[in-house]
Amino acid sequence: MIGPDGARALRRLAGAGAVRAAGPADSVAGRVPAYVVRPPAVDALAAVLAAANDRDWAVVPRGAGTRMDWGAPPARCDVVLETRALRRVLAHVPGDHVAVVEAGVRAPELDERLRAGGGPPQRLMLDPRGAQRSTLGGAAAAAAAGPGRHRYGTWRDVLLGARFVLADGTVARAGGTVVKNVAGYDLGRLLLGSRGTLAVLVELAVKLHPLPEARATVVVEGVEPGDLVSLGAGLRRSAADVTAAELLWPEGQLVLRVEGSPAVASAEAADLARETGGRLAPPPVADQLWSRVSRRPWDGPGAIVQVAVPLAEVGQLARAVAGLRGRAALGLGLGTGGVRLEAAAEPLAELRTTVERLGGSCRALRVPPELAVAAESRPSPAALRLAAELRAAYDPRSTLSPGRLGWGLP
Amino acid sequence: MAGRMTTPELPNGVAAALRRVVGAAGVLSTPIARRAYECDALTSWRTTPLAVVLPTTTEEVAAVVAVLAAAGIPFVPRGAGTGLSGGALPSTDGVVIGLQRMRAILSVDLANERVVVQPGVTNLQVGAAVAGAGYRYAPDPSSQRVCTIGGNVAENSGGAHCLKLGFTVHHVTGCTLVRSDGSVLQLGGSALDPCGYDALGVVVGSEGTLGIVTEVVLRVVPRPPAVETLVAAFPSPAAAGSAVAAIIAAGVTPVALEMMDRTAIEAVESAVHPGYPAGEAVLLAEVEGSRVRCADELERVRSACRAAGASACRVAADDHERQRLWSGRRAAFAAMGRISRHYYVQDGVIPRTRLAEVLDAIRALAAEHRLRVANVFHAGDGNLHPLVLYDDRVRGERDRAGALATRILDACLAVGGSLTGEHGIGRDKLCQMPKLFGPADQQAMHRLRTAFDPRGLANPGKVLPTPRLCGESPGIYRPHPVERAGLAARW
Repeated sequence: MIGPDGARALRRLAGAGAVRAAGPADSVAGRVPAYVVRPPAVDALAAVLAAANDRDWAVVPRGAGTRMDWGAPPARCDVVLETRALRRVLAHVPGDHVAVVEAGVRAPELDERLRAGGGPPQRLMLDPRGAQRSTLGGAAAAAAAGPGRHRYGTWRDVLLGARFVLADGTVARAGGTVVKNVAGYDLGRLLLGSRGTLAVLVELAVKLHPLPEARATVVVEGVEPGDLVSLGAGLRRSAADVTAAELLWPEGQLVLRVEGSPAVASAEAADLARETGGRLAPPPVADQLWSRVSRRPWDGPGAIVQVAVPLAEVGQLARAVAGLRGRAALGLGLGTGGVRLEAAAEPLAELRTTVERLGGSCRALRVPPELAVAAESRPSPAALRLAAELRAAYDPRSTLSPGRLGWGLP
Repeated sequence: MAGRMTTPELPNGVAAALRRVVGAAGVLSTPIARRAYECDALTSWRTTPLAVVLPTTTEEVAAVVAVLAAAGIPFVPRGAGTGLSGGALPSTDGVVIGLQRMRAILSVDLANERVVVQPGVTNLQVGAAVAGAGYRYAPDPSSQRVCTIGGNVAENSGGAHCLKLGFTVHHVTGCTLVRSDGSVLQLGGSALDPCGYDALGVVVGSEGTLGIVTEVVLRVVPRPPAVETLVAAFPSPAAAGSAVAAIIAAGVTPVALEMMDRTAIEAVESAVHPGYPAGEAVLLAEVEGSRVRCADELERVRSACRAAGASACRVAADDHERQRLWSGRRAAFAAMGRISRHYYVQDGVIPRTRLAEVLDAIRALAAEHRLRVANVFHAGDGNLHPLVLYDDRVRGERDRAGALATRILDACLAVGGSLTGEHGIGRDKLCQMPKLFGPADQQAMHRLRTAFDPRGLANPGKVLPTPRLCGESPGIYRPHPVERAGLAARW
């Protein structure tokens, strides 16, 4: 509990305007904190975290709050610590295709700065759901990815360096701002997907890609689970440089994207359409399809699970999803995707069992806490032991997002 | 005399326990056998280990490590010993665990585009196992004929084609790790997105300090349908550097973009006759993909080169010519022997926009130190490999070369670069870490190490500086036996 003294300390460290009493809207998976603190700078954020650590207040970091329903509920939650005031783009060198941003920056804010940099347009090529609203730090802590990971990868591919605050207030840095670097441990990579349990990300150096001059979309209709493995293999062997390949299920629509100069994009799209038996989608249709991909499986009721299977098992995965009357967007080239199912123990456990039998794993994203055990693959005892040891090394008092990782971890 | 000094020995009980695990032939304990492991390819650092143990399976590695852990004896994992930062340098009180007998390809699963290997499999063997089916393993360090996957994972190795295709960390989807207490941990697998922390992301590139990787799941990818290779000559290295900046700025990402200066060109022309056009610097650029994409990107690269003042621009007519152009690049380090008795290979990284100015700075520093520097490097990602040429027989040259190499690295750091792009910190750059990372940064890294290895038994004295170890100068190159035999080049 935070008493009047504690509240005064928070105001002193972060500034009076940066602290407010929390309301029900600040609930983190059902736990309402006492205060929401939005420090104006990294130093203040570190001071608040150190003070919380000394006083055994549990702290849950929050960016724009777009993924607070991901993961297990925190065991305790006294302070929600917001990064949204850390919103400067610290550097952008267009010729290097590198930008350094504070963690509270949102993709559109970065884009604006990138446009101002001049030269050929470039962009951070991660396109997770809600990319327009999420902070980059929050998206990184959630390891959120979108269909573009087929070509551009995930946060692990674009994060060049990170600055972060440990639970005791230590501000540290790893990696750098160049595109190739093996100096020291790349701790930024460890923080990706760590859901605010090891450190608070405050600064990210990211690799940018040139924004292609043209994009073309090919859609294949009426795809059955039995077609998927050969379709997937065909895509990977195609001369076309496919940058995204998502299967919308149960529609049976395979949506493919190629990019490049106008001539290259249209030539490769034509090849791809011929190889897959698909057709070129005109721009308005393409926009609709990609918008549907980005909303799937998020929009609508039910539980949402992230799935990953070996490439050759995508057909089996689609069959399982069909049998459970689930809705999904499955990345055909990578064996990953998101599935929405009825929020009940039986279908969730059945999906998990199938995915594990296929050699993959399920991760609960938006799942009611009481169903997390049914929905989520459990890491091995050796992996859980390491996770506990990492927690103990970085946050021995379990100040940051306690219990948020699930599996009974502190 | 040093030769008569008694070297420390492994306690008898420990030696016997190790023999029970790997057999008598798997434990090397004679002074001569141990001395063969006293260094990796950074030969200026040498330490004779207590013993060398050669396990063949994950279970044996785990049992060996458990024996050592019980006795509190540190260990150094070692692949082919081609590392250039002293990452496999033994410690006097420790054991080398050589993984060269673990060279089985455990599975080739093209339906899932994965190959599972033991750590002693060479980089090239992975590619060879899938080449017939039209696949490749993308990371291609120049020592790929001899360097092992275990070492590549430890160093997060790169290579010429990493510019577009990514480094080792982007091609490893799983591994088996033996931790320093002998416990076995599976990280990731064939599928992506495993649950929990992404420990695999930090184990790759951890230089053997978090444990021993005993099985690796690698991603292989289809070969591209078309490839084009262009060689361009420039009136100065700075002009070639401007061309690189222009190519990247134009939004083209070639799969490879390599540069050599005149000194390097002279050495390779006399060694392998690649037939480069005459100039003060040459640029090798490779693009791949569909035919129409190749043609499009090739044209952009060509016009960027011309705009930067290229005096000649030639496209390889066929595979034969392409191989010849690449042969010069691959042979570059080995060819230095033709123009210099000794050299030290530096590995620094700079922002790509600063190439021209840093190359000028290197030239000025070389003149100041009265030494020659040959530049052969991965220009596209700003990863410099200045080769400091010197003659050990000339009094003071070795020290001047060491000083010059350090000044060059400082010049890289001054423009916002890094201490190493692919060779690692190892022992060589241990004491330079504070130039890049402050005490809090190092402390945060140290926490990772202690979480994995609380007793500090895995490859101690590497990556993170300690007061005891620091205060010496960086290593100086002497040719490694593997390299003298022509089996490996430095990249």
